Amino acid sequence: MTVAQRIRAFLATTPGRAAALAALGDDDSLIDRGLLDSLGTLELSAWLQEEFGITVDEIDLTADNFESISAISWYVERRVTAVEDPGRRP
Amino acid sequence: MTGVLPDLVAAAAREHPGRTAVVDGERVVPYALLHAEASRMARLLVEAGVRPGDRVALYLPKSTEAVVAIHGVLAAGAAYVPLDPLAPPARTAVLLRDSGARCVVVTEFTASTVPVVPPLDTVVVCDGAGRGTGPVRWLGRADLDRCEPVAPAPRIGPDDLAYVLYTSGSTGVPKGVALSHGNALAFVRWAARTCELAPDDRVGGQAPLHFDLSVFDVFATASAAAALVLIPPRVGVFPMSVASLVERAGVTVWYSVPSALVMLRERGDLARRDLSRLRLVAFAGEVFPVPRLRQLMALLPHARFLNFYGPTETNVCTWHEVPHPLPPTTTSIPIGRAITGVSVFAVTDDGHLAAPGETGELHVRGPTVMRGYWNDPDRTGAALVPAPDGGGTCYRTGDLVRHEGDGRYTFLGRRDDQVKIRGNRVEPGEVEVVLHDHPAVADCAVLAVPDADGDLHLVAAVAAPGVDAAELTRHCAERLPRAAVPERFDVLPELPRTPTGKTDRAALRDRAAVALGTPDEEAPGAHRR
Repeated sequence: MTVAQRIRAFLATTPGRAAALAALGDDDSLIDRGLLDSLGTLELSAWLQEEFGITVDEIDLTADNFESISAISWYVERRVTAVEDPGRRP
Repeated sequence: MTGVLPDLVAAAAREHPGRTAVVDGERVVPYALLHAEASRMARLLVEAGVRPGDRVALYLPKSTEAVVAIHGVLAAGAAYVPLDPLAPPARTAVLLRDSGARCVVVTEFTASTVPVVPPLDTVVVCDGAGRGTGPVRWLGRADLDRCEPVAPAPRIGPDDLAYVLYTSGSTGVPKGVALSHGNALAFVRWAARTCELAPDDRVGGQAPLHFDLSVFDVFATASAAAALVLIPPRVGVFPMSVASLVERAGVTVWYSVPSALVMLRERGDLARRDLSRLRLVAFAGEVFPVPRLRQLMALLPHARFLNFYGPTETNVCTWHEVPHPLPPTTTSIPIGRAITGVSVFAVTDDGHLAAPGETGELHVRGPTVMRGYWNDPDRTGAALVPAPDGGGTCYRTGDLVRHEGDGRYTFLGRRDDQVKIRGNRVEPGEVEVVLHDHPAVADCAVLAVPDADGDLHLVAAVAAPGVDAAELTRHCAERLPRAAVPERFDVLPELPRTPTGKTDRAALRDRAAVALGTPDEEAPGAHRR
């Protein structure tokens, strides 16, 4: 599974969201559809840290990084690179 | 109290046309433009057949468009009915039908999910294209643009309906709280004075429009020709972004539920920000836990802190200025004393007015108290009762308070099961009604249980053979507002019973407390062990 697919699968574990997620494209806003709220960002960031072995700082929790599944995957890929090469920060 | 709500923006546009009315991300809207746009909206609505007393639903997020629509509906002489665009469409359809709205204002984005149910015959897509003809007219931006930016002059007065706010009802049917122009203005004028709002103020508030805290943001701000700083959803979801907006936009007055403030303090890195312009923080909707309030106050040593209290039915009816610094002995924040023009009193179980030190149910009388529940004389009759002192009618809040003397009160709890989940009013009974609608549910009990931090979580214990939590969540999520969807389902073969055959709620609470990791001293049933 790609990073985007794994994120999508995690988001779908929140019961009651599966149908709305199925209709959502990777670039569509999770926020405008009410699929991510401020508590949701905490659960998601805890899962991302566990699943991908990255650190998600509160300061990174912004719409730029978390608005859509694409944005989140792109963020994760940059963070994974940062973990593999600690000299670089995305 | 004289006057009507459309007077506010009209006066601000006349006296301060160039002052900022709304800040919405990069967009800055001066009062002259807000008034012109609201006037176009009002003209279009009147042209579409909207008349004084009609209800116009709003189905769009809190945005410049929504603020224009609110003022436009009121300028047309109609009442606005704000609906949550993120609520399940099935529930929205129930509210729309109940309101009897013939017209709804949407954006292009929300147009795809708006339920078009009778008697709806007109949809205004305020930022997009209309759509030909049919049984339902879809008017668009072009229709607005051809309307004159001159407000119509509907014949409305202070006693006319201004808005209907829907709230949870314990029987499963939501209640529409119907408030008049006079109801709103009695609160708005008091609030603007008490908060010393002035044209230089920038007011930030996170409450959505279907939540009554937004009445302060939208109208108290306009009454002072101050600027309303909107918090767009893509900012509001992220506490760090909200804190940054408060700093950058120079917000001077903040109003929200305590949970939003707690989240800002915990996750918004407030200590490192320049919040010197933030001079007043008001909160309402739930109890602010004192330790968390202390932490926030320490970060804002120069700000005033006000606790506002009042069910939607009464607007704000009491208030308390929190002493700063908070004395170390303070363990709870009083709801304080009545606002100007309102009287409040506690009635004991035997029907007497509570003396200082006694506990009773808070009753409210005065200009901020609602006209009634929309379309529901029975529930109105149960809520608006003759005042115990014989002076007119008053609203029974269902809130138990202690009379502290000197006209001050402290909130103790509810007479019924109603709870606040992150500031949202939730009736567990309504959730139970919805669960019973599921064909596999034989029995259920919905409880609010505190976690280790004292935050309440909605937990449903359900006897439903062969059904899992995901299915029950889906069922609830399609029918209830988000805060009313239980966070946890405890699916059991059958519910435990007390010796008298009732559902053993205490046992269910204990189970839920264990699951939530509630420490023993917080667990409601702990004393029994």
